[in-house]
Amino acid sequence: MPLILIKNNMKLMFRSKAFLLMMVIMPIIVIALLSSAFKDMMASAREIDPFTVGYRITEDSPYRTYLSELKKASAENDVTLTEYPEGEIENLIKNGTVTAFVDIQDDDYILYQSSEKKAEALITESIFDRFFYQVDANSALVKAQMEQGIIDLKLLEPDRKTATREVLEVEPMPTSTDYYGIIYIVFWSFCGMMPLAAVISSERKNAIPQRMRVSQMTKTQFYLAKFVPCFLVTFIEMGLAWTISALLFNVHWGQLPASVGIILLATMAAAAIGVFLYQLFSKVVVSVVVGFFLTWVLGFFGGSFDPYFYEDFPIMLMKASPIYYVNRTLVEFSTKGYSDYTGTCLIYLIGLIFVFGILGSMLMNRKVEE
Amino acid sequence: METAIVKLEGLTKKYDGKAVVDHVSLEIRPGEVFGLLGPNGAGKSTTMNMICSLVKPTAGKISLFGKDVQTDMKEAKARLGYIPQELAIHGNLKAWENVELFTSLYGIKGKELKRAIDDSLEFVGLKDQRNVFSKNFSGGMKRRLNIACAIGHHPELLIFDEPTVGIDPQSRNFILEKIKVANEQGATIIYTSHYMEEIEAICSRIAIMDNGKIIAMGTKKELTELVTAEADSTMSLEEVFLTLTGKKLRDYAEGEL
Repeated sequence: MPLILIKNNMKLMFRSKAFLLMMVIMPIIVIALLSSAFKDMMASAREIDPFTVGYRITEDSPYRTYLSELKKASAENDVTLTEYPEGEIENLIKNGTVTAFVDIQDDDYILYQSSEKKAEALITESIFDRFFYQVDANSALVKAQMEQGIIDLKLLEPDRKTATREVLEVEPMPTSTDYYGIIYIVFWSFCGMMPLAAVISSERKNAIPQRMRVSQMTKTQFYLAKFVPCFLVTFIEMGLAWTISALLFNVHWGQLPASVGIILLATMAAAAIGVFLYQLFSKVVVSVVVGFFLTWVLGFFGGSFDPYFYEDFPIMLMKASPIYYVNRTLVEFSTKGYSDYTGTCLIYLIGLIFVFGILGSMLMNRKVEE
Repeated sequence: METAIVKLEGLTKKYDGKAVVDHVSLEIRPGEVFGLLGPNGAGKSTTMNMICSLVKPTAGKISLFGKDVQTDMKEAKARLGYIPQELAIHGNLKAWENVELFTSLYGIKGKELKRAIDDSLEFVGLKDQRNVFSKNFSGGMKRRLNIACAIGHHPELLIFDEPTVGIDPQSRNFILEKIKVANEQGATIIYTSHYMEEIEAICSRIAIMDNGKIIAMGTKKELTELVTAEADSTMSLEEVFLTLTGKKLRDYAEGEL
């Protein structure tokens, strides 16, 4: 390992004040601006005004008995249940008479919702799901007790012996501060090729590559002397930005050790891509522009600008972006404490490090004239 | 007879079919200060670059320290110090950090590295400026640091490619004196320059290149004898050079060399 070369390349990167400021101060400014700008929008998904839900129930429905309890439970959640025995359900929703409509039948219910009121529909479904789960559970319990002769009640239909329950997939929403506080540390981690520009431009401005090629260093050592300081410096700079933003804005990160590990891998992937691009293009400015554009596009589809849960891009495009997986994993660590996307995120990042590491290493020294 | 440190046999380099170095053969013996003279585009830098393995020859053979550089360059690199024509130092590193970086490329570390840094900076007269960023150095100081970065690993062969371009006479004189000292300490030197008086002052043997070929080679006295029959001629090297290469201007566009 060329430790002295790595050390001196790190010095060169840290002494480039422009890149240092860009990597530490810019994320903090962007987090402050965007979390403030989108505070209302993100909060609107969390705080919903009271609304009315229409319902219709069949004459023989066993649930009719429990309607008064259901209305009480709904009212506690700022939802008013109003019966509409007649009329077109679609019209009632379209003309705004009701926000959602529930058609309660003998054994189940159908929820009608508008695409503009998804959050209200989810709340309605959650209330009904919980309520009917409890009713069904109680019925099953009573049935079992009746069969064992413990009690003798004829309240329920005879064939209901078990309670079923569907679990709704409702993702908890982060606050705008948490979302952008996490997302912009990720985005800037992916800009990790920037600090290396200080080394590459200094080398190419002078005849340093020539002198290095005359030395005993191998291609792999040259590669490591670029890759290692690049990701270490970016990781340290991100650590600073992360700490300052967390202290200033009270950003909540979940699963801290895992989050740190994922950011480290993200900086490594960015460094691998960066070294590859610096080898691919002879001009540093072209490499930087291409690298930043690439990161911007991946961020665009990955939720760096609009929160990923509001984006209308085809899911294929979103899933093509490694930033989407990193964003989603870290945001879910914050909101839920775990993420089902962790595995894919790790595979994606390690894959990028591996593939671009090999490509970058292969391109090292290709400019030795044939 | 001692084995040649550098041996070129029929060395040729062609770009787009045009030979910029054309069947060059020469030997440089241990302890020599060998000067390579030639007008712009003569092929001097390409020859140097091929010796240092920066450019692959189209044909011919290069031996360094008795070994073929195509197959066995690793060991030769450890014994070679290269001072390129352009400055090869980082402006944002201090003088000692530059020397540390380039000396470490040869596997030197620890106390040996510290000693090498001190010795190299002292050799070029920059010991007192060791903690100054090289971007704040004058042109002459940068040139001296450029040399310090190439000598830390105590190379047996030092290749100087026009090391005094654009510096004041005092710095130039200092560098020339130090090259003589390095030679006295045992290093073999290959030196290219446009300045005839530099070559004349330090080189024990001189090769004159033109159009990719070596047109004359020998001591200054031997070269003078090639162009004049006078036994005690006082011709300067410049006069000998112009007689051999002609007085026509040599203008080359970038990329033609």
